[in-house]
Amino acid sequence: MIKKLLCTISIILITSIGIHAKEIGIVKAFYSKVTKNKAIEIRNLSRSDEFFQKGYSYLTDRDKMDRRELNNFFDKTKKKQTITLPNHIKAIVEFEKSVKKYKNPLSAYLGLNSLNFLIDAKGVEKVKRRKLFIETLYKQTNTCEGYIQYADMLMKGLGIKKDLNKSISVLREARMKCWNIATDLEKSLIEIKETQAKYKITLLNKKKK
Amino acid sequence: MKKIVVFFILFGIASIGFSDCTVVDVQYSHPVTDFTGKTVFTKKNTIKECTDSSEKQIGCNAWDIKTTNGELDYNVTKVGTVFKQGNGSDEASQLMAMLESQFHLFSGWEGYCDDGTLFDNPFADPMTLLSYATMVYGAASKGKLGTTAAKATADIGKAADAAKDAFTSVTDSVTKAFDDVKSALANTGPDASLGECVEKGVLSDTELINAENLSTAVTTPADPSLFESIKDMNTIPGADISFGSIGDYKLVMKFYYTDILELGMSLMPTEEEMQSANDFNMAWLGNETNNQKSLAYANCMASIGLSYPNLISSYAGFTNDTSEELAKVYENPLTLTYDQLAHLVSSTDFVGITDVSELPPQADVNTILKGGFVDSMYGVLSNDAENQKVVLIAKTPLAYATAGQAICAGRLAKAQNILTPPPDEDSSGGIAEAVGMMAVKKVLAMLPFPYNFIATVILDVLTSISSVDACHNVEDAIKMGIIQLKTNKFLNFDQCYHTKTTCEDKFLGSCILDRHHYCCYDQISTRIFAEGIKEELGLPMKECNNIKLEHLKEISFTKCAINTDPDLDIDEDGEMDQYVSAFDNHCFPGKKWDEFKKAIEASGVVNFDFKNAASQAINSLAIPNSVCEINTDSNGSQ
Repeated sequence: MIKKLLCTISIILITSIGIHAKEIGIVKAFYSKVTKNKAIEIRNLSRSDEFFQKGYSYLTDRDKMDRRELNNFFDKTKKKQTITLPNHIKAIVEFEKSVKKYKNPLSAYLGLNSLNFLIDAKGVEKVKRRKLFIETLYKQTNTCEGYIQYADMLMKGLGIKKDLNKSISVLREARMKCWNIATDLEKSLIEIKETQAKYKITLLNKKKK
Repeated sequence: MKKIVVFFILFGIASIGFSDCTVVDVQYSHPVTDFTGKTVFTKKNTIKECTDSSEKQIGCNAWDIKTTNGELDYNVTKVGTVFKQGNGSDEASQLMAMLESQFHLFSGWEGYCDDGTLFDNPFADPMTLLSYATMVYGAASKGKLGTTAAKATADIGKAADAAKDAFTSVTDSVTKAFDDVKSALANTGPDASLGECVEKGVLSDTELINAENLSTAVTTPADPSLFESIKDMNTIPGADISFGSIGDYKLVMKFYYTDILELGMSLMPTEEEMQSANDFNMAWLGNETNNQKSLAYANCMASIGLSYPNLISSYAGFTNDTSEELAKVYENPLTLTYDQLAHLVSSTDFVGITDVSELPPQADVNTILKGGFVDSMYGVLSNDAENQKVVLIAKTPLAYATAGQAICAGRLAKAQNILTPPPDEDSSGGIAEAVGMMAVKKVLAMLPFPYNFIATVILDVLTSISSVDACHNVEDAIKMGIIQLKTNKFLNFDQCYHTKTTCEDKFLGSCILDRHHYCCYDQISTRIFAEGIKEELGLPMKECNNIKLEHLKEISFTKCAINTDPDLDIDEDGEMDQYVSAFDNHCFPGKKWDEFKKAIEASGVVNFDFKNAASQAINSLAIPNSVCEINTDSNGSQ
């Protein structure tokens, strides 16, 4: 049982640090969310953005990725495996520089994605960076992702003043600007965020009474 | 217990037996009292302690043998024969060494080690049993006990001990049920995929019954306080685990026993759904994928507060580190279309609707929700029948996550929970497997009882299968216990000979775990010497300790001639096929002769003359050619 626990812990450790992500797929996903011209513009920007290149290499270049030993969960008699993992910690730092200098929305998107694989969601630095990435995505693109994340940030007051009404207005903006190109999932998310924001307003009003 | 047998060896004359008794107590009984009040006892018991001894004379020198029964000698350090540079074989040191060798003939012991496939019965571990019980208990108390909200002050160690004691009473019945499940999985084996095993195990009525029996066994404790202990396990943090810091990020988690121990899987979806769900899970967990739907799923989950770290933090009880949605599920309702609601029902309530296609096109939400997991785990905030949408509030973080899966994964939600990814050729394969298993574990209580329980049993059986070779692998030997460890050590120093192989564990009639039995001795030379003597004297090879002092005088140390040296083989019963020749010719088997000589020479002795050395050794024992022993036994009595 102790071995099982240790195994579990080791897996959690690795999982918590950040897991190997196929960034090419994620980049393609991002380009599919913006117009063709915008995609070309961002692609050109990214090619000349040294911070993006460096950050991206921490996610995709095995020589720069993190090397870790992994217990073999299924056969404890086997030797530990050495695996390579994306170094989200270092990548985020570079993406932050890229966003600050070039306002690169792709860096913001990838940075946001990397943040999703880190524990300690409310750490000060993480909140600051999340805010930077989300605002960039919201301002630089018309992706539903940008609206949803920005509305979510306003609703939770993470790194920004909590404003439920503004959150609802951002979601309304999303219905106007990205609804037509939104996927079913994104439509669901917009509806969910609207429901949650309205419900929180209801709860606040009840408390005031 | 210590029994000392003393041999007095005197020159020529018969020894004398003796019985030495000491009075240790006197008791009076059967009193008779007369009218004056005077009492006399009519019976007197005298208790004596006597020494039981035996004396033998079989030679003309004297020595003692002391046999101590009790603790096993764990000192497995190799005992070497140390005698150097003999000239011929008449050096006193060599003779003493020979005596030492002969002396150790009496210390042969039976060793054994296992080799094959091992089922390390997980149900023998009280903590595993406890994990099952927590699952069953959790099913009974869903919505009432939240690991993150609960605060308890009781001592976790005390609770664990109490539960452990209580579980002792059900171990036997659980073990029997385990055997049933184990047998049912016989044809899958350790190399089968998890999916195959689940399909075979979970979807079979027989195994369902077996697992239910197991469930009954676990949850029928003799001690009614058991469930109180389990409740504590649900609410008391089991561990604060610190991983240190990386950059600005703390890596500390708090685990509850329930969180750690519970596992979960659901029914088997189609192969296609499995593959898609696997991709979804991998994307959600951060593994590489080019599948856009998978990435969309991962984004969707993260957008409603269900990123993997958020879920882990929630399970770990770190409300500050998880998402607001999971920390305060009651403030974060979810809007679901009727389709998504149907997926949610499908993925959780196996008793009722089992497939979305079974739902009527205009299903009434109340009909869908009535009964089952969804009805008990969610509150309905509003229902828009016209647009076919319903707003639910989850009662627990797990319920929130389950609904999130239904929203983001749709009909694949059901498949999400049973996946283990296929092995990958590249270096990320290991983590893919590990994360897959982690995912299986961590989706745990999202699944309804008893399916999580059944699947957990099967998963535990599968992960309990491992190959073992205690004869040659020290780590395996340690795992198998001290006898096998000692056998391993002696065997690898060539101090044992094989006697027989038996089957230790079977799977549907086929032996999967062999037990190899050996006779082991304290020295290599002793082992060879013992083998030779047994062959010459026709003593059973299976018995390790059957060479007696008396046998020494019967041994000839003349090497068997080639034409009389039998080709000795040990048959399946551990007996020699042919010992007649060596026995009839009264000679020392040639193979053992050579082996013994080689072993002695390997220790540094040159020009070793085995026959001469052996003869002098026997002479030094002063064993005459004719029987000269006289035994006198005396028994103490009271």
